[in-house]
Amino acid sequence: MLRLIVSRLALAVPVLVCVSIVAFVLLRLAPGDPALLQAGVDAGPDVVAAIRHELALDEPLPVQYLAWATRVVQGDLGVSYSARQPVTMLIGQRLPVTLQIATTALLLIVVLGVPLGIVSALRKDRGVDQTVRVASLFGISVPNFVIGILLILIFGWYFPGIMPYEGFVPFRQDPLGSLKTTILPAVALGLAQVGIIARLTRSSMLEVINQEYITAARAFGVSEREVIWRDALRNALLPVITVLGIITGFLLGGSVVIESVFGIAGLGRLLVESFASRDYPVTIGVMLFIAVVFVLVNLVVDVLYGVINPRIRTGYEAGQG
Amino acid sequence: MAGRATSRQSRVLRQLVRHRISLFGLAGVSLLLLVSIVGPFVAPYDPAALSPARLRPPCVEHLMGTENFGRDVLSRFLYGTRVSMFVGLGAVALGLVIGTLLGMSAGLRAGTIWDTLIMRGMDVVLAFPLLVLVPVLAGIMQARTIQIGPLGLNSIAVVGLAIGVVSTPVFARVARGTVLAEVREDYILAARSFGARTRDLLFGNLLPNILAPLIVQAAFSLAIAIAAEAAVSFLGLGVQPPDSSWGNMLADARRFVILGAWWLVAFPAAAIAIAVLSFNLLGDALRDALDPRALVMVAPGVEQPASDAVIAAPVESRSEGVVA
Repeated sequence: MLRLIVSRLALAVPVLVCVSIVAFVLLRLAPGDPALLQAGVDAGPDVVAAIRHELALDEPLPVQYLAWATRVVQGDLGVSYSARQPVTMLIGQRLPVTLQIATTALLLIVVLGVPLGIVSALRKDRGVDQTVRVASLFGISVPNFVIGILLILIFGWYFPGIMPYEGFVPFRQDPLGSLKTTILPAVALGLAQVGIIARLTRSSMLEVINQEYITAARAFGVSEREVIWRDALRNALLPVITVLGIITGFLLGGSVVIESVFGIAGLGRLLVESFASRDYPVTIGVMLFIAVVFVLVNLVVDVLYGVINPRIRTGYEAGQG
Repeated sequence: MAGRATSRQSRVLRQLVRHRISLFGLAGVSLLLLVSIVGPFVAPYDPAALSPARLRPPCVEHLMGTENFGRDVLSRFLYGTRVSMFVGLGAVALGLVIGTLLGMSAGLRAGTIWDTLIMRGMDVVLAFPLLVLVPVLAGIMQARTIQIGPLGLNSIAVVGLAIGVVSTPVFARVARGTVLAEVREDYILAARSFGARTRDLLFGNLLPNILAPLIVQAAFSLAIAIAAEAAVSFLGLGVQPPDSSWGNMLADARRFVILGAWWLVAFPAAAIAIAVLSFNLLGDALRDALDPRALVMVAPGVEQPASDAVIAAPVESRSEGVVA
């Protein structure tokens, strides 16, 4: 178990280092002189030079990277040019909003997707199954922000006043109102993934049901309900768990667009806004943060998968090339 | 057994249904290609021409209505279809060529530092969620004027380039995986024993044999690329006005949808949905057509659900070692 975690971590570390190199290169490719921008318009050349030296910008690139990476590891992602605040502070302000929406979406995906997939598998090729399959096919084909715009059309124009379709109320300020403002963005964000999870649950459930141990369990007279809910489901959900990592990536990426659709000041919106003000430390900081979260989530999913499925624990590395 | 008979019947039935759905995919792709080629020639108005008829719903003079500057939505849509399809096709072509070359050379030198370097590099690209990396790449590139020789890159080329970079890793993985499987085949061993050079092996023997999975992947990647272009342009970091694309048309639509301007949303949204759906279906049909083994290997009663492919691609590529 511990070995699994350590070996997974060992694989993740080089990826994280490379991710940070990519972020650094992009930061350097972005237009603008960081020292000049941080100093402000009316700063004298000596001030700019001092800041340049402080940020190690007068050193060769590898040294610059090391200085930057050291600061990043210590939790310093630089200072926003426009807000004049540490990037980490801005991320801290926006993160709860994004988390609330993404968690609600994830909840929606699991609570709707898994049961739909099970029902679909048990009623294979009947009405329910066909409907779910066709609906999920269309759900996957319509990008989440298009669904978002359609939701705004429905709740902003055709049926106004039922649901807030713009902005976000913080949870601390008004829990109920906050949940209300979460619903439409979460639906837009998660709808396509409901279909994906439903289809995946369905095919993996069908595969498991045809396995010998299920037939054996039935032959021993285990009740159908127990076979399905205890024996089949537990194994059928394994592939679903692996996909949750990818889903998290979809949700993090999707929040970039969805928050713009609904005018929500979350992490994704921060990323997009940073382009308008050419605030590249914020851009790169948010990108780096999201990538690290994504890598870590995949790590957790990997380990979790190993915990649930002991067969994976040994011999998994063999295939890594 | 009666159960087996019905399951076979339903499998055959599903095959038939699926092929009819595949035809829909083919029809959708052909239609979109036709529109993107012919569209701008039959556009009734100049897509940038302003008129006093602002935000008009569809009528005889303006079949898709007009937008907030009085520009004809149909004309903008016809030009935008060309732009969106061009970005999608260009990006995937780029990813396909570069990814395949990298993947093949990695596969041929499997286990060497070169292999590790390439494939870990691909991992790094995949470490970012798609909709985070594409906007950042496009946004940073848009802010600089990029000049390649005499060629200046406009916003359309920049988006294509950004999406192309992001779609490279999956082709590299598919190419590497298939090369690894093929190198052990007898015909490669035979060619090697006759003293075939590496380059001849790569392009003479290997490429034709690994083309099928790459083409299938290209169809799925096209679906992803089209959706990605729409998203980045919607965010204002992709195709810039006055050029139109499905994505930046939706950005305008977002502002006026609260006033009930459904026609601004409906047409580009439908086009994106048809494009993504069609390419997914096409990829599915190609997979069935090009790889008969897939049908034999699948256990009875367990078919590969059609568009799990969208997600199956990353899942499979994550476990490339198992495949290889």
